[in-house]
Amino acid sequence: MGRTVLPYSHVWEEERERWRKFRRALRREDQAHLDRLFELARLHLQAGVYAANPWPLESILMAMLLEHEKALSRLEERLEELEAGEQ
Amino acid sequence: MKFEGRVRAHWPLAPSPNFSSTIMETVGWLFDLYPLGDRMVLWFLTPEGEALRLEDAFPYLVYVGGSQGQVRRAVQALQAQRWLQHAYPTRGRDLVSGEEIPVWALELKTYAHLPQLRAWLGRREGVLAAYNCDLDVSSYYLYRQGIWPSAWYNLEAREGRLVALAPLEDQFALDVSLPPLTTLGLGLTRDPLIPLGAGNNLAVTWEGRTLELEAPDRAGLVREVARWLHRANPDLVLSDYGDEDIIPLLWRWSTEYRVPLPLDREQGSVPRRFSGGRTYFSYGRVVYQGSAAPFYGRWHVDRRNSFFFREADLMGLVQISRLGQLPLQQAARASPGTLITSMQLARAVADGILIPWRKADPERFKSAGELLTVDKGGLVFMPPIGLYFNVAELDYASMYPSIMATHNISPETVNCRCCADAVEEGTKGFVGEGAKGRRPSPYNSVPEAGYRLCRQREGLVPRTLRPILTLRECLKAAAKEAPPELATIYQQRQNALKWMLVTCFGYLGYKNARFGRIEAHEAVTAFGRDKLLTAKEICEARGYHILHGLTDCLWIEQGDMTDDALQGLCREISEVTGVKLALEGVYRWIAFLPSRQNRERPVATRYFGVFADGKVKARGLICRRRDTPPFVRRAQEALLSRLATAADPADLARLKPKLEEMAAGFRQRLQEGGINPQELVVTRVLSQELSEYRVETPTALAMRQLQQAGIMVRPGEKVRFVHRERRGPKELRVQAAPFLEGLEGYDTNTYLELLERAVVEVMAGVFGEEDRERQGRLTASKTGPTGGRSNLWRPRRKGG
Repeated sequence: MGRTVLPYSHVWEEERERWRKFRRALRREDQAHLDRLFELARLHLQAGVYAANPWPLESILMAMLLEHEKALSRLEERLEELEAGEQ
Repeated sequence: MKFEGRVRAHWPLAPSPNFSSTIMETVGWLFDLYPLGDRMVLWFLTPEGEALRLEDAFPYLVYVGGSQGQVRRAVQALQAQRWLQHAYPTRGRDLVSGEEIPVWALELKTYAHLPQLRAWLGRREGVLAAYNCDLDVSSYYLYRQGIWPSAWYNLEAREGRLVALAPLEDQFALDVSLPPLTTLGLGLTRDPLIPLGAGNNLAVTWEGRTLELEAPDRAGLVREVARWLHRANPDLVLSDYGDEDIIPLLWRWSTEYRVPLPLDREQGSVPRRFSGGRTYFSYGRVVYQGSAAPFYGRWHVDRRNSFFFREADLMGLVQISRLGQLPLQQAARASPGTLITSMQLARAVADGILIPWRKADPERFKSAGELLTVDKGGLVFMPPIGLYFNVAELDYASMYPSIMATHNISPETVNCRCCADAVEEGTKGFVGEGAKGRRPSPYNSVPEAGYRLCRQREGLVPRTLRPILTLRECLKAAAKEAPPELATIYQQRQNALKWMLVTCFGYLGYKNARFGRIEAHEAVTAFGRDKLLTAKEICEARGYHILHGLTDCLWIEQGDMTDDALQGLCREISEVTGVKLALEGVYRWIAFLPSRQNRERPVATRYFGVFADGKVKARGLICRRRDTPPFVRRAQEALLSRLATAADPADLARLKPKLEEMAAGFRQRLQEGGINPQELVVTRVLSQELSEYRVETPTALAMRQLQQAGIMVRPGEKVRFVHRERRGPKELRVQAAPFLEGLEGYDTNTYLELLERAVVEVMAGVFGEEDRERQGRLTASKTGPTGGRSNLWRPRRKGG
């Protein structure tokens, strides 16, 4: 079946490819973090598909932020728990 | 409208002036039919199983439209060619506008003129519009008469001519019955790659016994087959590899050695050509479709060359030939797409719609923004990797076909002209969430895309689909109630229908499909995404947590789920969305597996689990792959069945040592040797010609062995081989089937590795990290340190 538009996972793949040079110039330990960010964005491909944003990086960045927000919330909760336990 | 209205009662088909001859009345089952010269030949079977041959006059009717002058000139030219029996002005309905337009009907003298007429009309494309000119003659006959094969009729005949017939049952009847059929089995005694007469022999199965035919030479073999056909006079010859390997050879020898071979019951001479198969691309795969060797007045079904026989057995064939209005032998060899197209053609002919010859309906221009919004498929979530207990799976039943039927989606109903003013502006860009998931999308406005759907006419596609959907529901319900042996038949029939429904959606967006249009395809997927999200929203509103979603299924969990609550949830969602959502089952546990390349990355379609009733459901596992050797497949299936006995986490933990033991057992069997080579066969579908393989892969090596033995395999066909030695000379690395007899030894390490992957896949899914480590090592050793980008890009492990 002729597809006019790439499947979204390919879009993600292309976006990651676009950042290859950026990645190359990073320190090795930082590269791993960048890779992780892209993997996080992959968890919400379906939202990117549905939103069909003409600038896919926006959806990808939003998905990364979302996972960061989740991680922050978890850490805050955990911190509160620990602090409550200390008192 | 000059299309003769067909009444489903007695009507004269071929009135004969000879009133003195007697009329025979009987009951018959429409068994086979084919065009011969200028008429149709029909074979009926009586309730006693007697074959009855009747003829019926049927002039092929083509319609042409265009400017009056052009059409008149064309008719005159064609009459001068003496191809026409009759030509007259009439009216027909235009598919797109639904309006009646004036056309000329041309009746052909014989079917032999059809190719010439098509060529003639083809040269006048753009000046003349030709309709109904590329239909299969037998099917066209069935469409026009409003009858269908594989059903009972009251018949009236005179002197071998059909005078009248009336169906005794409905086309979409829940129950079907067959006349008694005599069946002769025909097969090869050895691997089909070994040619007949050069190491391979014929086997005939008759009344439960199989005999190998012995013959001194080729002529003798043909004589022997002829003797069997005479003696058994079978209604059905059920063969393995008959289409490609047996019949063409026998027929050639029969001509060469002048030994008559009564394949057909037809006495007149029938055309018989063997064109050879063809290779083509479909859904990203290379497929090989064998040539066909149908008989006349007798059925020949090649089990190995029939998608529907594989999926649904003989009852499935009976079902689809009746629904698709295709002679059974054609239906057996048809793809689901051909069938659904035939049903749509039948619908069109019955509705007096003119069937355009070549589809010339380009996609409407869309801006890039529009494309992004609509040109995408179903929604696919990413499930969290790991093991989950008490998970419910909810599935939409036939989601896409139901959407087409409920929302009236058909090529001619999307943005139709007749409803252009009927829609208020506000509905454009409607998305389900605007209604907080509580309201179905407006009936005739497509979510996201904003296309309009016709409100005045029901489209051709929905009209075709609705009775199939209803019948399938009834068959599924009947299968649940019926005793086992009857239930199987209902199951087979509903399975045949499933494939037609599945294909129907694909054909809406396929540019070669007769009744396809990309906007209609997009409308369906847009509704599909909306329905899945609506279901998600309702589930969440009811306190469920969404684990996974995949086009038309959802996997959900909640602290304490009851069947009652889940059934209620399904009812609510079905009501809101207008598509039936059903509880597929509650998993005791389900494991979502990571990607093979990257074990941190979730994928949508790799999971396995056990339902409350102990049934295993596995997707994307090694045992589901077509190339997996039977030994490895069975080993993995055995592990899964063992796991299926566990109900809770404690049970699973207790099973772990047992599974390790089983795995060790399989390893030991491989090391000890003495395994039947057939158990170790790897099956690969060829994607290219031998000369195109640049690397000496096992597949290429196996292909070369076959070629050296004079056996040609084409892209799309399969090669099967056993791994022999990993290193050493190329000729010894693999052994291709059929040369497996007397094979000594196999490469133990290769098979141990394959087994290990299958074991680890299951163990890691259930018992987690530690086992996944092992899998990681295996993958790495396979691809090497630089193999595949995924290694380079492997992310840091998530802590905790």
